[in-house]
Amino acid sequence: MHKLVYNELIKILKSGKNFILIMILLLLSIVFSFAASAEWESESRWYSPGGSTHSLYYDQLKMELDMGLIDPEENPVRYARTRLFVDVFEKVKLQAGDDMTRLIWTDQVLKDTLLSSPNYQIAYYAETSPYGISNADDYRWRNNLYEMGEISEAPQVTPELKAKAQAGIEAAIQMVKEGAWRSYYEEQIKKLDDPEQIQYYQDMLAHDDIPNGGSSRDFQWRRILVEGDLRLRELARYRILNDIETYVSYIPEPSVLSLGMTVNLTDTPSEGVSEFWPRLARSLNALIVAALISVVMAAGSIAKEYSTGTIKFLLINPKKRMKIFWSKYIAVLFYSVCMTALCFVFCFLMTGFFAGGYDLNAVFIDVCRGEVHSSSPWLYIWVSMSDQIVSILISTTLAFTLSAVCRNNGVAVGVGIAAELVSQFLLVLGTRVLPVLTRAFPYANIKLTSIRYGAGILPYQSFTGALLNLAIYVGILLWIARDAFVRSEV
Amino acid sequence: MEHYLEIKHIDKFFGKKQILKDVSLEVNSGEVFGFLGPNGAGKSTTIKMIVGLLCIDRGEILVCGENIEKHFEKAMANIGAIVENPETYNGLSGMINLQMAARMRDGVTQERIDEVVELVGLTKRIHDKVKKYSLGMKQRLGLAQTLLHRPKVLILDEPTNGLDPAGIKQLRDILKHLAHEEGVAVIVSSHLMSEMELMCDRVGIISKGEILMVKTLEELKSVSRLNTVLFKYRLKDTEKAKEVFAGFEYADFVLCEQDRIEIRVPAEGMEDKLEQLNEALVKAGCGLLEISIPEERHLEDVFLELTGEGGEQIA
Ligand SMILES: Nc1ncnc2c1ncn2[C@@H]1O[C@H](COP(=O)(O)OP(=O)(O)OP(=O)(O)O)[C@@H](O)[C@H]1O
Ligand SMILES: [Mg+2]
Repeated sequence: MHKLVYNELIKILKSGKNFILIMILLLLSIVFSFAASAEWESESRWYSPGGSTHSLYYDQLKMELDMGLIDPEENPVRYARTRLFVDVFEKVKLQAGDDMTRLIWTDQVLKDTLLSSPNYQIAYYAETSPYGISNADDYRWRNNLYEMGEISEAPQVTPELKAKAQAGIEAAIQMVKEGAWRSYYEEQIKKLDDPEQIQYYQDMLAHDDIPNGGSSRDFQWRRILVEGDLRLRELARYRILNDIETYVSYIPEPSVLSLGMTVNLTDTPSEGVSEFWPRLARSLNALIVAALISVVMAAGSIAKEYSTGTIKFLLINPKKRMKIFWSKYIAVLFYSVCMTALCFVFCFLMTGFFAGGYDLNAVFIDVCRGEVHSSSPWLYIWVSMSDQIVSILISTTLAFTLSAVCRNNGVAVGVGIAAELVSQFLLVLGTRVLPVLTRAFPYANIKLTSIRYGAGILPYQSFTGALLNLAIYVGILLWIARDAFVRSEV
Repeated sequence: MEHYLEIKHIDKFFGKKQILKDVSLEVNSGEVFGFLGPNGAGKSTTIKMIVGLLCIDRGEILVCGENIEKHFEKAMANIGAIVENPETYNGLSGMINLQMAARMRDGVTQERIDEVVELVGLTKRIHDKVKKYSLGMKQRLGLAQTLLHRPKVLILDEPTNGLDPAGIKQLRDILKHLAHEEGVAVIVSSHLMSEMELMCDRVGIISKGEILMVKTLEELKSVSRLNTVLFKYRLKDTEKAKEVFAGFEYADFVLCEQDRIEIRVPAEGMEDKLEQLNEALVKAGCGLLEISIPEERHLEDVFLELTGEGGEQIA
């Protein structure tokens, strides 16, 4: 079997097309890396769904503190923030030694450091939303943050306030779970003071306007409920020292919320923030190119054999057709993996080149479900890549199946690429129009990481469900392809 | 003699159209078997069924005693075949093509590959891309591919296509050597009758999906369809001769023009009958000038005789 796979790999790798495709990959990786390093840098700091990396140069900040570059009297906000980071990193260093990338270090330690430190009074609250808030709606998040940033008089969070808010949230969540939209509307009317909005809800009640499970308004009211609850915002503020306020934002997506983000909203020294990793994450959009290349190769895998007639040579060997089929699939997958890896390497090198250095000692700190985590930035990159890899797997398998069934390279390439490109669009359309059916669509399930953290694009998506869905699709596709290949008459 | 290939009563349908009708054949170890038939007769179809490219609708095929459908891998291990055209990966060099073929089989070493390359005369160009090969070179490469694993049954569909005279002779020698010295069963399909005549020990003729006959070359040459022999006369007075021939029931007119007459005489008791005929001709004073001895029949004549005189539309 390994010999068959080896043969298939030779066919793929030694084809003239392969060289051209790799060149394209290289070129586009450069373009994407360059684009990722361009102007919008400072603005886009907030713009990473699922989290934002703000890894810091410990050395830099430590030096600023030690040398007294920051005067606590003159610039208390900045001083406090820098102090916070240095404390955190000090702790990290204690555990990990100088090499922070190989950090093995319990979250609890960092959390304790932060939360028990007499210098900082941190109230942090982030509630996990089980209702699947739209992942793509970063704009709103950003706005929320800026809004909060403008509030200068943040109230002290007392245990009573916290408990009250907690109860309120739970009640609201209960309402959504039970679909008790009436109670929700009534609750809203009681709470609101904008007459227009009150009128809106009253109209809804009067007309028995039930948000049904499929409608976009249904989606809307769940979101309003969770996201728009003012009490959450109240809770989301917290103070550091007496006159310094920064905020931990309430972000409905619980997956990744960067500590750096919460603390250095505006005026953390920019040299303190790693340029490299967030840029790399954006450069990795180039993975779409790897996906397309994999699709092209998968599409040719069987169809080309037919069009050149070599299928006859292939099938008259004393090997069961099944074996030949699987060897082809394995080779195609292997190629996809290679292209993905190659794309990563290109992007990595180019990003470092454009960013003027490789920030390998950075530490990625994030807050997840109310817990502070520190991890290797590699992990962060891996998380952002993994969804792409799943998508590549699906598209490649689709192209491969079409190749086996239609025996036509053009059709397989066309549909494979279309699937990769148009699926996202279809998905958005589907979530608006037919969210129930859209769940069955494999591309609705490829963002496994988000789904795992309860932030899938559709309500009630579960990780196992998504995984199962994908497995079933791949299974069905391969079954069809195998059947077509084994039965074909040449 | 051992049957290396046995085809037992196979039928093949494409849709509703029956392409092969009850085809049976045996090919023995140590012989070159010529598989002849006009375009669309079903030669390639039969070959594809032997190598498992097409499924068998009815009947069975055994290769060295193994059923091709039930024990595919075992049966195919004994076969080397080129179906229709030598198919190779054009973007790769001849050598890589051969190495890939070798990986598909057990026990083919690099030495064996070099040996076969030498045999088919491609040593100098083997590292070129196949794209740059001429048709004949591709044929040679295809042949090399089939020979790598020393198959017991070698099947070549129109192998002489594109070969130069020297190449054809070389191929002929290779095939004869394989069959007669190494005991391989060689099956060659072709339209080139003169070629087949030089190459084959036995031929089978197929037309419209049916096997018309299977005979050794000697049998073929001496016997004709109706077991009659053709004689050509040159005479002064053909009219008179016609009357004379009319007196003999067994003399069958084929042609009569100017000073020529061709007749057929049954092969059985031919000499006596000929004596009677000639005597009568002389007696009648027809002015007998010349009798040509029956020519050695060529495969082509038999082929055309059996499959129709040509110029027909493809079935
Ligand atoms: N895939 C197919 N579908 C339908 N009919 C087919 C198919 N392949 C072959 N045929 C038909 O089967 C018949 C036999 O074809 P085959 O290729 O076996 O002929 P052949 O004897 O090899 O002829 P040639 O000398 O031209 O190579 C032809 O009438 C052809 O039209
Ligand atoms: Mg043919």
